[in-house]
Amino acid sequence: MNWNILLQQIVNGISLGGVYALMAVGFGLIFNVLKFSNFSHGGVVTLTAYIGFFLSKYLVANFMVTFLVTAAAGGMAAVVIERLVFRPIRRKGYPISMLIVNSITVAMLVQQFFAVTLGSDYYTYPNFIKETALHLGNLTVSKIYLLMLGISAVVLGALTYVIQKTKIGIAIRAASSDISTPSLMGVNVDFVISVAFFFSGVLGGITGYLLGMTFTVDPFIGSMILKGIIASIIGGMGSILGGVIAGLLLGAAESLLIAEIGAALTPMVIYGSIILLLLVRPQGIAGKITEVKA
Amino acid sequence: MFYLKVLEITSLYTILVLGVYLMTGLTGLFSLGQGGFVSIGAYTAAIAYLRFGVPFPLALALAVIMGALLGFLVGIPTLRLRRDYFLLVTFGLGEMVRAGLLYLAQLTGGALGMAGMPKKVGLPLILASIVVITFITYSLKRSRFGRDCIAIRDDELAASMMGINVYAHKMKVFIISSAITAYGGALYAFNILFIEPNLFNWLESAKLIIITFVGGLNSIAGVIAASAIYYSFGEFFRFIDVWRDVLLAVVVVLVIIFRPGGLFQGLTLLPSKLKRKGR
Amino acid sequence: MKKSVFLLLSLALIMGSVSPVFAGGEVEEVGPIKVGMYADLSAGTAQWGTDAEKGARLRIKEYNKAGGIMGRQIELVIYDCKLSPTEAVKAYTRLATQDKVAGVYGSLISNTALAVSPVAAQTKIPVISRAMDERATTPAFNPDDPENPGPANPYFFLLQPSAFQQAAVIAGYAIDELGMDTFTMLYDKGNAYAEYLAKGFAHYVEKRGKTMLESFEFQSGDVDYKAQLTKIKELRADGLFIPNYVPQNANAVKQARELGVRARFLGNNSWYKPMDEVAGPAADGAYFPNNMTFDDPSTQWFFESYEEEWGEEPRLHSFSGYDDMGFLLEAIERAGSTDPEAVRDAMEATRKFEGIIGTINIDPATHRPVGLPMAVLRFVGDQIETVEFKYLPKNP
Repeated sequence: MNWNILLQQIVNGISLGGVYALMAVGFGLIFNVLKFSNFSHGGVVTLTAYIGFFLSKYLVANFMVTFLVTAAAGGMAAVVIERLVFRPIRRKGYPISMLIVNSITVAMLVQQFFAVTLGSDYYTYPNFIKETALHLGNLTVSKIYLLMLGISAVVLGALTYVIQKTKIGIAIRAASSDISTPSLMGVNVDFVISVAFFFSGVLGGITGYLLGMTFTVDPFIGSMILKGIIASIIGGMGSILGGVIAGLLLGAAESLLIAEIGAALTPMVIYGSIILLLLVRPQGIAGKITEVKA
Repeated sequence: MFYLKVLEITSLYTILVLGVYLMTGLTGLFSLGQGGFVSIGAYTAAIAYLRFGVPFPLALALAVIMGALLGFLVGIPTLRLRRDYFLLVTFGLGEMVRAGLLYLAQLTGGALGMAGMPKKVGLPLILASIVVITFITYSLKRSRFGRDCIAIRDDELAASMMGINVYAHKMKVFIISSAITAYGGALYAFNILFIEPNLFNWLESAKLIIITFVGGLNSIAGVIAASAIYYSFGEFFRFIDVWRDVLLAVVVVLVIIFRPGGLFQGLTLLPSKLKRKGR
Repeated sequence: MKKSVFLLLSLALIMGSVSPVFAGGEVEEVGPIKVGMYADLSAGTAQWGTDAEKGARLRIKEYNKAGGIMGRQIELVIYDCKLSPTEAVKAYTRLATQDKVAGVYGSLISNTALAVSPVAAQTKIPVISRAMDERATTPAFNPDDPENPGPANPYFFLLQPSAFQQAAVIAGYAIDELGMDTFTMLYDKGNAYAEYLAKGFAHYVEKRGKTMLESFEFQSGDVDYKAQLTKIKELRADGLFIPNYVPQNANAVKQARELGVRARFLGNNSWYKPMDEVAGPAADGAYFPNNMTFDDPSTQWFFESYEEEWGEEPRLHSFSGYDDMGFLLEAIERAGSTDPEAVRDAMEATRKFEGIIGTINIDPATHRPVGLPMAVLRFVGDQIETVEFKYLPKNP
């Protein structure tokens, strides 16, 4: 194909990758820092997609306001989930597999709940942005995808700073290798973990809102999170930046593959490659090998 | 006749649950890709019978062999991974199978699915299968092999230090479990008589895992009971059947928190024995 | 082990005591006439299922007000089949053997229809459905040889144009009224409904001697099709056929607009409401076939009736539910009995059933309607307009 088309496909891919990167960051905060795969993140995304819709359709038709409120709602939802579902397990010292099962269950609960109650309607957000495409010469980019990409970058920077430099960040990191360390530092472990979940939930809320704005809101919107989770894992344990980069690569690879070999074969190539990657380099692209007691 | 049908369908799914139980209960592996094995079993049997004229019992056997083979091939690169990685990789596997089935439309009919299988599978065969599989699972659990596996489930590091070959044990269990799941898929094909690539997605696979936990990781009877209740729930509680999955989710969360040995603990080990430090 | 044996035994006992396993197949002769329905009330196509239920209930209510059939009131027994073939089979079996209905109104979606179809042939309680997949009514149908559908399943009926018929409507309109020559498609590879429409479309286009350019697919669950659309843009086809469910169609259209795809959009009957809300002005200029149109003055009374009953505007499948249930009830009436065999025979003999969305003549060879026109509609901005009230494509 000629250069113009190739360039457009790359642009398509990277901007789609921005979506995945945002999801990888939200998931990655808990995954990389607390070393726990929190599948309920998808549930938070679904929930906030609906919340954002109802807020902007029926209460206030203002992008900024509903956006921020939804993000906050996401944060709170995540904290509630942590409190109700994960903390009791953590307190009793159950194996991590129980946490994983419960996180999947929460995701399923949210999806099915919406499928039963609101599943029979399709919802779209009000048109906040009239012209969603940005034209740069011959290329077209979606503004919302760019927004997602931008937010990922900003959040990544902010998170890295917080985690490396602030006391709460250090406490969160310490909590991931040994749950008793933060208390030695004089910080309440439960508080530290709640904070981590709050941030992850806020990111989930942002993701839900933006996804809802771009695509139709339905109960299965949270399933998209699986791509972000995959990106996190390829990116590697312990590195949120790895997850972001992996998300971008995943988006680009998908777009180019679909263009070249069609949507039928693409999943096979992509998942096949991921399996190979994990076989050859189980720590992912940028991760460190952590001793697995499980 | 209706209740017969319900019993048939419930029992079919119970076979699949048992497959998961074997894997998760014995070695603590979580797979979101069970759907892939169900489909492989179903399609292998259907294609063998319809396109190649293979007699039914042989078609069944082929399905089982394919399942075991696929389990082996998939296991090689993935069984050494962490639990959550394994979970995701098996999800990817499920998707790959689905994509593959759609792509090979000449052979499989693609999105149009396959129909035209005669009803060769009735309640007697299904129930007999459950009995056999339960027996296999039970003997495995009780054997030395099984005890080693449970040790792996509870604490892999400790188990390997005790000299258990973690990888080999996991592989054997995974192969058996995959074979059982593929067998269930083949039975499905010749009972429901219509299969399509979207038959069993990751959500259904997740439900199998969840039901296993509700039943209890250490209790075969518990798992069978939980499965029977869930899959026939709609017939007794029609008015809230729509909420069935939401209820399941709530029950699971509560069970895991308050009664982690499963609802039907019965023969299970006490939770305190499952405790490990930190993560 | 003792405990598990005990558990299993008790389960078996419970099931045994509750189930009259040797239930016969007699439909009751007194009391209300029962008709059955299984629909997707939750899961991906829940909107259609619930709309159809409301339409059906409205029809039943009207019949009951007028005295019912043969002096008996009509009762609807309905189950949620959740877009799952297994659930549909369970539901149908229950309706047929437990509830002993005179006839069943099946779900709209083809995957459930394909699972229920063989069961219906054995259980012998007739099923009517909107499932457009040809194999539901003629199980031996091969899309690569559409002219020879094979024998019909005696207990299954389709009450709207099938996939190939519907695709022909819009393809024919595009060729004859819009003067298009070159076409491409974007469809959901994992969705049999979309795939059949796509095959039907290609088949008709080629038979008319026009050009079918490369087609593009996406996987079920994908929401972004920019990669495919970028290639579609380069093809510069006259028409782009997008025959999926509402959310996918809306996503495709919005993204196509963004990328600047010039081709005119051609749709399927899933482009009717609420596509106008979900896709908005991005759908401008699109043409699509539909079973009915809300501009038609002869159907206005239904709008009022439905709104009065349910407090909302009817959508496409509200009409379906109303018509299809009417078909079923009229068959019972004409048969003069609730014996499923008699009802089935009456269904097969139906000529000139006056539905609000068309006159149905059942072709006994295929159990599908023959010569049933569709309306053609188009989007102007984000508003839907009727272009043709009744359109039948030229035979290729």
